[in-house]
Amino acid sequence: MCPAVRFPTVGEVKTQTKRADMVSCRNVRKTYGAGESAVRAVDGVSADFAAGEFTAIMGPSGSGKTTLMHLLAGLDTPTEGSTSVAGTSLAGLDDRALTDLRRDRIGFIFQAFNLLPTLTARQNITLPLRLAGRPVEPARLRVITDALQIGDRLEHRPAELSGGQQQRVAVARALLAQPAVVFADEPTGALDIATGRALLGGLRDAAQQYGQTIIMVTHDPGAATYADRVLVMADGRIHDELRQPNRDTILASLASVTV
Amino acid sequence: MTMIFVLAWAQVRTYPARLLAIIAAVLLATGFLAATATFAATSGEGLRLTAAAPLTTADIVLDVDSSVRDPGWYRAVAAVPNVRSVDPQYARTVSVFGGDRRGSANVQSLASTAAVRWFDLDHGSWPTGAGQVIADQRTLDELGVGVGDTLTFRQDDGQPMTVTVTGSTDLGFRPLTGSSFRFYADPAFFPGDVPPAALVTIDDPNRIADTIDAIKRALPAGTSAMSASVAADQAAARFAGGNTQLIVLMLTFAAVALLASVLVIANTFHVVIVQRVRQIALLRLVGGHRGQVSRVLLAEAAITGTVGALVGAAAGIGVGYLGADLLDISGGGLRVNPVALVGSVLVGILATLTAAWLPARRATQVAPVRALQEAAEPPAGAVHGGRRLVTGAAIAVIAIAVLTVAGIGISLPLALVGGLLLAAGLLIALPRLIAVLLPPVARLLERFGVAAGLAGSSLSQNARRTSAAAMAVVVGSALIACLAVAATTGRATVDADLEARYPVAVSARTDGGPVDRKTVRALAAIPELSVTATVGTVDAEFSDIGKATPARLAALPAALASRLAPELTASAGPPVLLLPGAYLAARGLSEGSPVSVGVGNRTLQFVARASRLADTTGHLLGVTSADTLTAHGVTAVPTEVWGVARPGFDRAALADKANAVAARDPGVELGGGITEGSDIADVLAILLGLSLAMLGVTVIIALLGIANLLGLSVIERTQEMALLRALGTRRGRLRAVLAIEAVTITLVGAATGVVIGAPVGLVGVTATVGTTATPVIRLPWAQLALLLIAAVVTGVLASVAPARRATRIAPAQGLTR
Ligand SMILES: Nc1ncnc2c1ncn2[C@@H]1O[C@H](COP(=O)(O)OP(=O)(O)OP(=O)(O)O)[C@@H](O)[C@H]1O
Ligand SMILES: [Mg+2]
Repeated sequence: MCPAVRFPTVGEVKTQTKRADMVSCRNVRKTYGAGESAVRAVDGVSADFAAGEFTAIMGPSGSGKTTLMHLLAGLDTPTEGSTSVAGTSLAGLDDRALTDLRRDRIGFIFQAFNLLPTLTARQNITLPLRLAGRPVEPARLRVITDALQIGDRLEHRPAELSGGQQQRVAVARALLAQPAVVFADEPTGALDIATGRALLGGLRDAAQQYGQTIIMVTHDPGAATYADRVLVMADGRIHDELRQPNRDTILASLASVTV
Repeated sequence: MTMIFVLAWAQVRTYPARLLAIIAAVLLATGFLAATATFAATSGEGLRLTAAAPLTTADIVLDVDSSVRDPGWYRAVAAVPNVRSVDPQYARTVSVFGGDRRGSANVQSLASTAAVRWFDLDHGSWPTGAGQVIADQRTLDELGVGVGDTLTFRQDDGQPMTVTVTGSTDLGFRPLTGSSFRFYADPAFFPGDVPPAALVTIDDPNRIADTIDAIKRALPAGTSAMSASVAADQAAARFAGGNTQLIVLMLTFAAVALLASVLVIANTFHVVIVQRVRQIALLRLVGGHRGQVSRVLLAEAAITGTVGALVGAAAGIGVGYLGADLLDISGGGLRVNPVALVGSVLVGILATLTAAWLPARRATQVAPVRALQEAAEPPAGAVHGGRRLVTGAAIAVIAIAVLTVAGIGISLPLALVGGLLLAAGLLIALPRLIAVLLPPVARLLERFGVAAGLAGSSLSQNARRTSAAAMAVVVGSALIACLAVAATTGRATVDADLEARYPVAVSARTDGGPVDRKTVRALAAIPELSVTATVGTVDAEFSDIGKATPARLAALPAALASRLAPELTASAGPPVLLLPGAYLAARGLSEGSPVSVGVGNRTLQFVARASRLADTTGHLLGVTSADTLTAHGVTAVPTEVWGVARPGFDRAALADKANAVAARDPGVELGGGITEGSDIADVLAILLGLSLAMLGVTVIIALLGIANLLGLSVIERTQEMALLRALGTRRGRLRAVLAIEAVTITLVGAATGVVIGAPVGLVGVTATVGTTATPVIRLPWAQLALLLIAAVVTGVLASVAPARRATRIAPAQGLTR
């Protein structure tokens, strides 16, 4: 049994007012292609993600989860509607500002290929900070990596780490810079249950202790129970919103959209 | 900044093999530059030393002009205060016989004052009398004689003398004399000569200026005095241009190697970036700016470029020194020009950065979201479309117009401008043109079976990359074809010109006695000669217009007359005398004018005809047939042997064999076509040799570039290949697919290169030699065939490593994602 990951508080913790919306979108649409073959991947979604809130996005395959996440993170531009992160509208930002935003305010964890294969785990974790020219606090790095149980693997390259360890290195990277928002697309998809759960616990703690906003796409109802709420998507729209979800409510909601 | 370097360094360290092609390309280009720089510095110093060496031991050098006739003109200097010694410097040119070879030799006097002798003996003893000489060990080796052996010198007055080699020295360089050999002898060797120079040493070096003034006052008119160091510098400066031509040629090669390298480096970087799309996207995703992405790539370029350039510079130093050593002008030891060397390294690094610039720019276009997507298709490069093709074609057409004008007008500068324009136009247009050519090539390949079809479709789908890889081959083979065609056509032109001007390829003549029968037989045995015959001569007097001119008449035997001068054999009318055209013109005579020639106590009547035969045989003035002379009862002495060469003979081989015969007979002097035109032949031989060296460089660069391209194609087509394997395709067929791809690239590149290079070479050589001779166009079929064979072999070799990777792909990889 894998122990749950706990983050001891280090130094001063940035306190953020709860309830303030860290990420939000209004009437976003994303259409791929044109004419007959046009696909509405996201079809008029409005949603708010409060600071310190852990949201899971679920839904059948092709329902637009990944597309929505890309829109929220500024990796893709909406055909219509607006998105904002930390109060900044993404619509008017150029590539440089968007890049700075990703570097300073956003962390990413995905299913696979999270790490640069040429860098060691430590170099991967500190990459965003060093790209920004910001100092790395060794104490904080140690606390985070110890909590994720990768403290002794820091000088190894991704190829020398297990899938779960690689994933935890990505989590450490997403947490070290204390980004306001962490986007995760099926972060546990490639992990065994125990490793996956430990990672989710870490994410939840990050949300609770540091007020980081977590937005996670997942197919796993068990994973979604770690979230504060679940958004269920179908056909590019938000079909349902569950607060304090449990396995049963999630399964019931999913069943209603898949039929 | 440090993070950029960390990322770049991590890449270089993790995937060194991917960057090997870049290092090799930079290495070659920088190596060429550094070799040129080192060659220039080393040979320059060697030439300086060679020119200045005999003056290094003196303080003051005295010179005379041709008006001075007193052999003792220098003697008065001995009485000038502060002068310690005065040594006259004599020099004579003689023919040297004996040993294995013969040739002209320059004999210089050694100073009587031991301290003024500028080298020491390694073996034997200094020469003392008129019959003793010493020489450089290399000279002795070439002549095949040693210390204690004897040689025969024949001087201007025709008197042979036997000399003994009493000693040898190791100068470490070949003195520049304009003759084949150099010997050193005691002043006693030069009795009665007016020394053209003298070396003076002084007691107090601080009073050199005063002493020079005093010497000038003591010397007769027509003499001059200057400090030895100034004289040494002047002597060196006269030789400064001795290596310029070679350096220019080497720089041309360096420029071409640089260009080919830039192409290979750019393509390699493109490949590297395609392989790394997801990594680049990830870097962008976690907050790397576009500028940071491109800086990482440029830092990688800088690292690999620096490694390649440094290794290349080191290798270049070695090659440059070896080159100078091979030409015997490295006497000053290895000389490195630090500025030029640093320049070469910087140029190598800059070339790498320049080549990486566009691919790095393209890398910044990779969207961050690509890190999250499964399939990593290559980033779409901007399509430059038809505009590029049109621009390039327009420049090329202008260039061809300029080249045509240059070819007709025989202007070398214009030909150079045209060549440069053509290169620019082709570099712009060709990649597109090749890309356009690929689909038809693919369709053609489809007819040759499945493997060829697969290869063709892969090539045409990646047309841009394919054409970029082919460009490196085009540049190299265009240059090779250009040089080979220029050398062959130049050679044919020069040979044809010499053959026309010198109908007699070899002549050996004595001073008056009959030619030794052994020499006649030996010359007749030379396979390059189709006809050899002895030619009799008699003294004659041309008693036209006032004063009589003493000269010789040659009597051509029928065997030669029918070959060389059919007009002599015409039976009707008065006998014909062939005379130099210039002689006829100077005397106001025309074709068919009667001339009377006094031979002994007879006067013979001839009809004059202008002929090159009379022109180019040197001391002869008139040529007639042996029958004519016999008919008049004149007996000619067989003082000469003439040989006519077979068509298309090897000039160098014939010269060697004729010289070997002449070396055994001090009584004869060689003449004829083989003694002319060797300078141009040497230059052309160097061109041909360099074109072969260039072939080597091109093969290496192309090998790396194409192996890289195929490696990438294997990575991209892993699924396709796995599927092919799963469907029952054998490994051999996969290998064949890749080999066919590579060979197609090299063949298309080589053929395009030949099509471009051959005409340029023709125009270039026509513009160069066209002023002096009628161009004879000859194509180097053997070299061009070799080029195509090399292309095929290079292609097959380039496909070996990628094919190994391809055949390791498991069939199952096609079934899983
Ligand atoms: N680049 C694209 N071009 C065209 N259509 C796209 C593109 N990306 C996504 N789509 C379409 O948009 C729809 C939503 O895709 P999306 O990837 O957001 O689904 P998802 O909910 O993440 O699915 P999954 O659970 O399978 O990951 C799908 O129908 C998909 O085919
Ligand atoms: Mg998805």
